[in-house]
Amino acid sequence: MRLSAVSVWAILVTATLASGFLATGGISAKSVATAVILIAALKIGLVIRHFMELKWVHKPFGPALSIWLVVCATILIGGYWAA
Amino acid sequence: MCAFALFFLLFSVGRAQAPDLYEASRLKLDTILGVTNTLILLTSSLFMVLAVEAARRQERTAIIRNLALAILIGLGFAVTKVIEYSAKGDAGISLTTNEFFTYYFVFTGIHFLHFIIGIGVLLLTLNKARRDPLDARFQTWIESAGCYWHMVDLLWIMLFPMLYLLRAA
Repeated sequence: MRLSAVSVWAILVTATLASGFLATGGISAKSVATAVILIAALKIGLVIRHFMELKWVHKPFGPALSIWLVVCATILIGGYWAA
Repeated sequence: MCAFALFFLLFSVGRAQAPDLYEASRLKLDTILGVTNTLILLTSSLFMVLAVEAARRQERTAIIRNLALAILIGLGFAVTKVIEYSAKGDAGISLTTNEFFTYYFVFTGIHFLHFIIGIGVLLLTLNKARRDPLDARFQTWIESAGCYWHMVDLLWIMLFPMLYLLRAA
């Protein structure tokens, strides 16, 4: 599905504000940590898919970015839960 | 990008070894400024996308207007970063205060360097948009500039929760 740039921006802004509220709320720290990292990963996924123009670049760049995203989210969530 | 993945790993290991120190240090950061920085970069990115779309339609006025807005709004990130770094300096917090703040200043500093380069690239693109023909070559240029600018954005999107939002369990 191709969303308009303004719609994607509105989702990104809402997700950012939601992360801020979640972090200051009374929900358990581990749930919040997992949620805010997953929200960040979702936001990055939206930026890669809808904002970045990857059609002209070397083909593996898009999948490499997606792998980078999964690795980073796993490091942060895994590191948090392992502490 | 790989360097930032390594930064995230280093930070996670450090945090696991000294959770109390990281939590006490995190509480000294201003979450409102962190959220503001994120919203600034996201909004600047939106205008970058609109500039690329205008380039596809070969609308020079719209390209220039949207690029100028992307730069102007983006510069707000520099303003809030200066405010944030100054407040840390006033509170006696520096690169050598503790491990958390070493990572904080190094990671955000390297990100800020990428941001400055991005502003330079956008200014160059704005100059090209004023003078160059809006042909396929310019289209590739502006899409490349946009790609770089969004990478600055997405690195901050992950730095923000890692530094500001991860509460101690």
